[in-house]
Amino acid sequence: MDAPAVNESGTKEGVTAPDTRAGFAQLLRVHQAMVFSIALHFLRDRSAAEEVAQDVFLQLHRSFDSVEPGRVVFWLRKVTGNRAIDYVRKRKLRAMVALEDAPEPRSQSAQPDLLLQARLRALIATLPEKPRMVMVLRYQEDVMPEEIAQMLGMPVRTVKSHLQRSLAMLREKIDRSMGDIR
Amino acid sequence: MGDEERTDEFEKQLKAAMARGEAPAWFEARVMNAVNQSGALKSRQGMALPHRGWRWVTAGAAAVVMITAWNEWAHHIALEHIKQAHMDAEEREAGEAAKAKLLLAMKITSAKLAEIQAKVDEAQRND
Amino acid sequence: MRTVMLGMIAILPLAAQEMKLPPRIEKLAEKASEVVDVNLDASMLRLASRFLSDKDPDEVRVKKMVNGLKGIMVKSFEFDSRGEYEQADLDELRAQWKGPGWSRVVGVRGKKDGENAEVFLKTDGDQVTGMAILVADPKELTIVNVVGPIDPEDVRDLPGHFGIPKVELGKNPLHKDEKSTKEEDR
Repeated sequence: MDAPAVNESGTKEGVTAPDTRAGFAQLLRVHQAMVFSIALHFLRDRSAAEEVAQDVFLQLHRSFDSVEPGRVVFWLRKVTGNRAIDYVRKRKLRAMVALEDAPEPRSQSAQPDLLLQARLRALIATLPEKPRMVMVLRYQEDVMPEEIAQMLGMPVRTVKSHLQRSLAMLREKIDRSMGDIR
Repeated sequence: MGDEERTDEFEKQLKAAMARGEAPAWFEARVMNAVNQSGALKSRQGMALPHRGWRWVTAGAAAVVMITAWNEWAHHIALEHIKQAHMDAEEREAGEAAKAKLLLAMKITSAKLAEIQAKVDEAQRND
Repeated sequence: MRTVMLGMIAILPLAAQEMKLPPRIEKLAEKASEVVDVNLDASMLRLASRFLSDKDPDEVRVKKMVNGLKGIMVKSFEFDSRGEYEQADLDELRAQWKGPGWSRVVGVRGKKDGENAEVFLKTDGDQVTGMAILVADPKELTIVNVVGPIDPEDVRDLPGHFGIPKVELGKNPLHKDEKSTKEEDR
């Protein structure tokens, strides 16, 4: 990940107080890629991802006083995760994309890795909301299961179970369609 | 490849598939605009209304609704302008680049035809 | 090597699939000290045309000329030394301009310096539907291929602008034995 080096507070040293416009703008600049990408990988819809990401930052702006010091990144991931899930549930949206229907990469001559990665993204989009967000947080953000459990309000064993089952499903579908991954 | 290695490779591909991308170029402006709108809303809501009975309360509530609707509309328009400006800029850049290529192609073609003309003229003079 | 790559390198095939650049010609880029590579298909030409000025007379002419064209390709290689390409390379190229509808309307060879210049036109009835130019100097090779309806008068007038003298292609470009043509090698 190419995120700038930040400490756990999510702020760089010397950033101005976040409740000033400049301070908030700086936080936005530093974390927008993370928030937007979580939403996009989950929703697979750029317009929806923008909407959710914007709501997250607006909420940050409103509630910054209540965010624990040093926990901005955690807060952002948690709120983005939950907002994205709510977004889907409100709209009863779910990517019902079977592997066979998953959009093919533009060129069949694309490197095999890129082909595989595109299919993985499409398959992840077919997961139910909670397991899907667990996968996004784990593999995009490298968040440990214990933290994912806190963010999404579920037991750690449930997070681990979601991870195991999702990985098994992905492997099975990929193996069937693309052969063994070496 | 052993099972553990296969798992590692698979998870490596998953991480690559889920790598962060960039937010759209206009995202920052969009959020700051929304923050400004909500800030403006707060400041207007903070205005003291005269306590003169339910008519004033109703009028105040109506004003808040209208201001909210106005702000949302203005926010939407501003966002559309930002997006359009971004797309226009991209198209302009592409168009200018294509024009430069075309004019270069025309110049080279013209120059070569002129060279050929010169050779033809010379050949005819030598006849 | 300084390379000015201004368009996609056309491996095979080119715009409107009217011409295939032989791989050995493409490979000359590796030996060249300078390369100009412009490849514009119909959509790029339309885009470029939208940005041409309506006030600049040269650009107005170009706009009129490209209207309806399906593609323009210009490839130019400059070499530091002679002998970087062979006649066989050029013969493979010329073969594509010997097909149906094509005729060689100009062919000139400079005796002193071994320069060779040719112009080919493709016609469909009375309409010119394509033009190719090949200028082969010892240290420079230029290939131009234009696909689409071209008015021969526009072609003649092109070099009248950009400050370059005109070329007479003959009153009727369909006839090879016009006064202005000279074929010295077959």
